[in-house]
Amino acid sequence: MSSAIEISNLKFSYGPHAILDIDSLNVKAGEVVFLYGPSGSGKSTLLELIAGVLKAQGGTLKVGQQNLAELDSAELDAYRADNVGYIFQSFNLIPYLSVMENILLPFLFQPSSPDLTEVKNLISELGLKDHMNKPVTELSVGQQQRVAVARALLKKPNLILADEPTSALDYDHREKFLKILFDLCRKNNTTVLFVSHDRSIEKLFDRSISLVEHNRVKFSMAETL
Amino acid sequence: MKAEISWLKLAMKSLANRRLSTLLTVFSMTLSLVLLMTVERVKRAAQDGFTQSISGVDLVVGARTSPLQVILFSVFNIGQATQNVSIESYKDIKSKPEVEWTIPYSLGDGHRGFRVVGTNSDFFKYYNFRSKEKLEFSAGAPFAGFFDVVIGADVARTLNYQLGSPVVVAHGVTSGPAIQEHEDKPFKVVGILKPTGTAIDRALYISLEGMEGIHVDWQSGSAPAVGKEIKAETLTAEMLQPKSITSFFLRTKNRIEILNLQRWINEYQEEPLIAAIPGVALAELWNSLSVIDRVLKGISFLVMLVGLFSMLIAIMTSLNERRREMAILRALGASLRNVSGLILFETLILTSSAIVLACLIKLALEVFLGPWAQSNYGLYLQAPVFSSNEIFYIAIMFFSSLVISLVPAVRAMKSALKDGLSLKV
Repeated sequence: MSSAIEISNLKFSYGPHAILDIDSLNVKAGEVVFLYGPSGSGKSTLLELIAGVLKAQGGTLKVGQQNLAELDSAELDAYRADNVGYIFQSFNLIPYLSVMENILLPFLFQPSSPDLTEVKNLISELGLKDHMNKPVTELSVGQQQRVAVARALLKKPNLILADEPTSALDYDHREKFLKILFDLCRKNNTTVLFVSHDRSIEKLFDRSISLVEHNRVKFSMAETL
Repeated sequence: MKAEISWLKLAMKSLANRRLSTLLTVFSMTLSLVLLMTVERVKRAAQDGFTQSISGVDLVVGARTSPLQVILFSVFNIGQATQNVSIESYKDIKSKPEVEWTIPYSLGDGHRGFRVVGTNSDFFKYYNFRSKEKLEFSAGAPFAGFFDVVIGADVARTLNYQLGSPVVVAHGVTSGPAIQEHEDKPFKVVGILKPTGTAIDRALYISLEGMEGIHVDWQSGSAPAVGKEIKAETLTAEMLQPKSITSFFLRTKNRIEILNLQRWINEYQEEPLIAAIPGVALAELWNSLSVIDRVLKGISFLVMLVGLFSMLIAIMTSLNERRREMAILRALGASLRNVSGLILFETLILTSSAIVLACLIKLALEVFLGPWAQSNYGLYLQAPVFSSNEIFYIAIMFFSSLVISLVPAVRAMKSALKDGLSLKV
């Protein structure tokens, strides 16, 4: 299997503060990976690096065939629009747009236009059929997160980056949400990198990685407090 | 499926989401533009009204007073003459070889708020307004009999007069209600002038003889005693020879002669006269009015500045609330340029709606208040609807709002760069 993410010798720091120094970390294509670590251990930073919002100061970061270190910021934006589906912890949606408009939002940033039958299928698979034209503020948190999944999947990304998207859900909803997400991703052979500090859901993933073990910058609780 | 997505929709919905501040911003920008354009329009109407009311006249001659005064009461019915010009002096000056034509004016009476001008057929032949346009009739013809009257377009419209309507001239009043009327000698409308958009429209024109006729039996400015009236039927041309006029317009054969002729009239031996050059006198008037003009414009520009700043403040304060929104857009692939572009685009929508709204309000004001301004203040709103100055104000508004919105646009970009995808507050 080809690899979806290849990290070697990746270095990143905010000013003088070193955040990440990862010797090697690989994710295979189609793998559903759980990346855990306590708050402040650099999980979000790593996600932003892989999403191409931040640029590493050293090392290589390959996503698919592309080495992100070689792209300029406009190319990184285009890369993100085409290849990455991003799901936030919460507040994924723009409150003044309808569910449908939120789902179609990524197409503002890429040249292709949405296949509307596919949109409909995806929406019914996610159980959002009756909510399509509602304002997002009328949706429950779980429904909002499912809309975010629909939006992330619709452009058929190679990679889904999820930043603790289940932390606002209770345990039952959490499992249900992950099951839907994984089913859809496996169907499309989409790689998932799921970041969380909550290891209770770890068993649902193909593999779990501890960021603290991979990161050579030693994490100290005192520093974040 | 109707739920397509576009930048326009995103920007519009974002503005609609901040309804109150959007409305207030558009309102204050609209207000400032309407104010600027109204001041400009009124000024233009006033200036046009003055400069276009008279054309091709080299000198306006009256009994000695200030040059501006003689023009104001002769052409615009502002103020009154205190002295007359004797008919002998008029004839003397008229017969000078340099003079091409003259138009005598005999003023002082009115009819239901409009002034009555005593003149002769030269008025219809020579009077020019705007750029050398001649008077034309929409109905009837110049006066022929002593008690014929030709009325201006506004008079006909306001008083709903047609050919044949009777007109009773009020004594000594050129505006406002009459105190004494010449009801014993009614006039009859024989001609209606086409609208000129100048002071010409707001007057009635009778012959000098007719003017003499209604006053023939008056003694030292008061109505004749009972039994002393002279019946209209008994009047003869002999009795109606005018003895004086109020002022007259003069055209020279050659423009070079204007100054010499002016000096000669100003030093006229038989009686004290003044000859005013309309352009010179009006330029003096504009000079004295330009202070007011500048103050009004200054205030209007300040209002515009307030409008622009209220927009800046509204957008700046919204930025912090929208950091989450920007992070979402960034995650979906928006570049930093997209983020600042969205802010600029929203400003563009705000400004454009303010401009469109201001233009609509301006047009509506002209349609609804135009006739009122015309009948109450003699302000004629002439084409073009938008002067170059007004277009200039619109352009200033447009471009300065775009320049100002660079501030929030750059700031949104910076905070989006700093925030990334996870807000680090």
